[in-house]
Amino acid sequence: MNKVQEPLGDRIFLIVVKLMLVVALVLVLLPLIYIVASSFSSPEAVNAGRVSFWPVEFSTEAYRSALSNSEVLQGYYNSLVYAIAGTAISVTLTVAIAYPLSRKTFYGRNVLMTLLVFTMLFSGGLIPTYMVVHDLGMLNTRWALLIPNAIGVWQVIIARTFFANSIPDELYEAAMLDGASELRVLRSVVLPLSKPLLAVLALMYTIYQWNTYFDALVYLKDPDLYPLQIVLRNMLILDKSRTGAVDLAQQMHQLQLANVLKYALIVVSSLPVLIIYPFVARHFTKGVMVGAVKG
Amino acid sequence: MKLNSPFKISAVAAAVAMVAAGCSSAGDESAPKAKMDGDKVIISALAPADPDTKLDTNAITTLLSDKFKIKFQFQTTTYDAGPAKEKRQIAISSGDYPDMFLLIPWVDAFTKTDVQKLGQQGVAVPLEDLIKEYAPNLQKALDSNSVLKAMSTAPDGHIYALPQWSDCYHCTYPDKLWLNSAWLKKLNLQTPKTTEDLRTVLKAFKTQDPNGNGKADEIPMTTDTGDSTLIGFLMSAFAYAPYGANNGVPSLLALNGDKVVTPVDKPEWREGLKYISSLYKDGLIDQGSFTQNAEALQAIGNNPAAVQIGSAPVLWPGIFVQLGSKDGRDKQYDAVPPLTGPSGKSYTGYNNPTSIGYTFMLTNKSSKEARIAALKMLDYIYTDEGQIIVNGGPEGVGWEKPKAGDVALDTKVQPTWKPLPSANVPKNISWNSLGQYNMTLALRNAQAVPADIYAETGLERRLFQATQQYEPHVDKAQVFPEAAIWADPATVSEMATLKTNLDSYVSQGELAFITGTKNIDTDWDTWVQGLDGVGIKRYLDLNQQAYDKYKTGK
Amino acid sequence: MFPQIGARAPRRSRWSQAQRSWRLHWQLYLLISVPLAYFVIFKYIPMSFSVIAFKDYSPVLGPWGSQWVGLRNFQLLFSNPVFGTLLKNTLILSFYLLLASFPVPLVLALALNEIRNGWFKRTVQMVTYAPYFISTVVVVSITILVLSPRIGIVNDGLGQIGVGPINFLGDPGFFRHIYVWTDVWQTAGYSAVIYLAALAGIDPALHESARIDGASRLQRIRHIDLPGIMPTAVVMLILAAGNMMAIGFEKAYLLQNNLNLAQSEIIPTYVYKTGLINADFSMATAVGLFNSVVNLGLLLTVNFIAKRVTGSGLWR
Repeated sequence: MNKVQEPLGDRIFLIVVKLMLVVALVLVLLPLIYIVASSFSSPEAVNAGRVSFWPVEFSTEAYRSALSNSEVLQGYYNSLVYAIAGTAISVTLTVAIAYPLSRKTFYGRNVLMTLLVFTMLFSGGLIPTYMVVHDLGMLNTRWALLIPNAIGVWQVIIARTFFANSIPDELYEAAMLDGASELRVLRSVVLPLSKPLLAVLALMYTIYQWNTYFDALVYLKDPDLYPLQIVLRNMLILDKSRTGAVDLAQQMHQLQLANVLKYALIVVSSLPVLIIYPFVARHFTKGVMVGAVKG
Repeated sequence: MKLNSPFKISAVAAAVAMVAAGCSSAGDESAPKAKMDGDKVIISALAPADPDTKLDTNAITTLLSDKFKIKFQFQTTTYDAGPAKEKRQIAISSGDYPDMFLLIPWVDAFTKTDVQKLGQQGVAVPLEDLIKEYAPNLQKALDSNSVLKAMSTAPDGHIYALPQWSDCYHCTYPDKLWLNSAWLKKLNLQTPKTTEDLRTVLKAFKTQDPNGNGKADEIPMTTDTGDSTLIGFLMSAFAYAPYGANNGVPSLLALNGDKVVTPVDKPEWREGLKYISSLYKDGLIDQGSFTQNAEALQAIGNNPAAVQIGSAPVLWPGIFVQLGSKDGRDKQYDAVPPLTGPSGKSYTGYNNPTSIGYTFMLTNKSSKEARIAALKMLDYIYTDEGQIIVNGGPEGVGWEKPKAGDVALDTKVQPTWKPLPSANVPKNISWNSLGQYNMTLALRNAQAVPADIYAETGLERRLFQATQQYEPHVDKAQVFPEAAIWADPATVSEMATLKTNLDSYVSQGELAFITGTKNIDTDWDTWVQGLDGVGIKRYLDLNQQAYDKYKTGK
Repeated sequence: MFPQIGARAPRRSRWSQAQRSWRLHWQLYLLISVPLAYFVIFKYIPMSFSVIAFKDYSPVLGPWGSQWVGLRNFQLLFSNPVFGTLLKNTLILSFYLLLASFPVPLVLALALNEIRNGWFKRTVQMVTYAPYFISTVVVVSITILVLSPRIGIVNDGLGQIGVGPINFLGDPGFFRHIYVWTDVWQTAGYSAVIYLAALAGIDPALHESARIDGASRLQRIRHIDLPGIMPTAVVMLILAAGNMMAIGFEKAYLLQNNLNLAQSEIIPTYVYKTGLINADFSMATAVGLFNSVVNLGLLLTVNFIAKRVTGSGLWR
């Protein structure tokens, strides 16, 4: 794409678009910088509200405090396991349900779709789900985090919409003429064309697993299985019982440290998921369709 | 649901059996058979634990386990209140609950409603006979403390659960105002005694540049939404202001003789609001007081450029200023004793017991042996020695014997123990809040505390001395004994709805009068009528009924 | 139940349709059976426990053995004098949130799609999506600090131009704006990801030929990009509408104070406050059911309108 060939109107338009994005970038970035700056400041400085966009009294106390905890490392490992295994299971199951539902000749698709959407609106809630998980013997196992919330209806709908709109019907007809079985069509024709979708699904499920917190608290008893988010949140909660005791001053320092820790933990816990984003986004490449349709 | 029907019948049968068990003595045959591990009885327990506490390897767990032949099987929640509550409720409502609940009141605890429901359903086991037989110290505490006894005994006469009893002198009189004494001195002013004195002082703070930086940046009075005792402190010069058990949500109830009344629709209350509103209008109360959180308040209090806060109505100074600050500004603040209003009134808020949740419960899943062992263990915690050790750790590790020259918190008594500064105490050596069952005033006041009240370690004494100025102002006859009162189970959810609606109506209305969005002269009558619309009469009636029952039961 | 379901053909041909579909797609039916089993086990079985909304639930008796109380819980809910205000506050907040948070990610994605791949695009993408990972508690505490009348930078700025200070959090009029726009700040980048993927699915050949025909960038956005991502956008809108009553409680609760309560008290925060005192599972389930029914109504309405206007909806 050669810039010189673009008409003036387009170039102006592009400048306006970029300006807009710069404004958006700044608006989003400022609070983020504040968080990073706070996480590298001394607890006292953060507490006095002196930090704006640059660390004050540079300190890594919060990070040292966060990373010196052996449970944090175990939590990292667990979260990694949950994220990888959970994403694999979830993406597979989502494609397995969304793809058939996207086929116009698949009998019963509307009824099934209705039944799925229905579960978004009406849910049994935590206690009944807990009973089911309990009866299946999944309590206090890794499965409890991987299975009960494996499929998101939202994701199924997105996937189904993508399949229905991005895979032309001629493709199926051609494949049928070739005598390919349904599963082979899915594996060797549809999926290679659906990289943007798979990337989005993987991203969404990974983030879900990475941020999951409540399920783990409810279903897990063994701290060795706790994901990172629980370990981190735990560190922020203090023993308030001491508010009546001699150690108020000690408590005070911990309180301030917790304040800084809060920011450091955001950085520590979101960094891994932020880092994978560019790799996923790479799969949102244009032109996936062209070769297939023409060839 | 055909498959379900046999299950259903057996469930009903089991339930009937359990209810029956609940009515008879707990030691009868309906209890499950004991599970043993060698000579130790196995007790499963749900308990909260912070990241530093590993209950399985905790020093106190080992101690109690050996002493009372118990093998604990802990399931833990974190200190995160919401999820801890959810986990407990899920455990119970799905039938997947342990032998024993051992909770921490400020994390999550049973309410009166829970206790009554679970007692009736047969989940909670009645403890009174077991206590009589196996827990003499606990029995003594119940007999000597009528509030504790009333709190613990459900209307049907059974004790299904026990609360933690932890006396905290300074928290009992929470409606304090911390005023900048250095500024007073500089401006040659006296500690205010009346409401008009206070106005004069605050005006001087605002206009005479006490921090001396040439800027009118002084804030005469500020606080935050979570910790504010502003209305409580100022109103006390006009009427008795109930404190309430929930932090941040004042109670609406008081007593007039044996009649349950609310002070908030009375003329004295109106006068109080008028006074507070006039301070606000003069710019003597900071705008942010009713919207900012603790973080924002700290940021003002610790502003390195200048000392800005003239006074703050909160429980203790650490809420708005960092203790041990570099410039020593935290030492400038002293408590102002309750003010006297134009009609000569002077009260103070009262908050005792400080925690009202129920934390110890044995369930119908526990064996007879487990129940006995658990109560013997609890009984040990009710002794002074057990209380200090379980709560603070073994002697020499968490605390030590006082040395010559050590002074007790209450200078009139001999110190009996001296807590070690927590920086020097190793982790996982005590049960902390998990074991705070009988921290009586006498025991707490007998701890040795450094004499310098402005030193960080002397804080407890500073608060103790401050509180001594408040205590004489309390009028206990007007205090509605909320903790001891059990509502009729049939009206519990109606009460909850009424309370939520009334709390929100009153707190919104009061702030509207204070900030001037409502005019106290013209809108007051309409507002009071509106209070009827939200159900104040019904709320008072229900509480009167509950109070009468408490009175006759006593 | 749903007007869109099922063909209007006679029963006999429906049967033969099913047979033909089975012969054609039997592998797909096998494939779908696993995720369907998941929905039955983890969604429909627990859903049947909602029956406790009509009962006085006792854990000992179980959901089926508990006493029937009919509509008592619903009567209690509707007869509460503040119910009208709560519903109004909830609906207004949800509608506003929907109106604001629907177009922003769309515009962001379209704008990102216009510029070439490079460090600038990658940076904007990364940065705008990062706030999604910040917990509500932190977002609220930053918001309160920034908007503070005394120390907040917003009021500092306003002070420079001679305005204020404005007590944003104390004025009920500001509550909804604060709630909604901090939410947009937090989620716009994340939501844009789906549109970016949908845009990637558009055939570049269309753009190529449009450019040859002399279409400007704006025209191409209007006639190629927008129609291309319309199905996705419609789905997102419908789903958001169907989730309106599921508005989170945590943020409203944290932003609440007694000065803005008139607008900040919504059904979830209210339920939390009453539920705190009284762990009433039946009542909580009744509120949940009521929310779901409202959501269902909203979903069907939006779906109907979307089908009329754009020709696409959740069911086709």
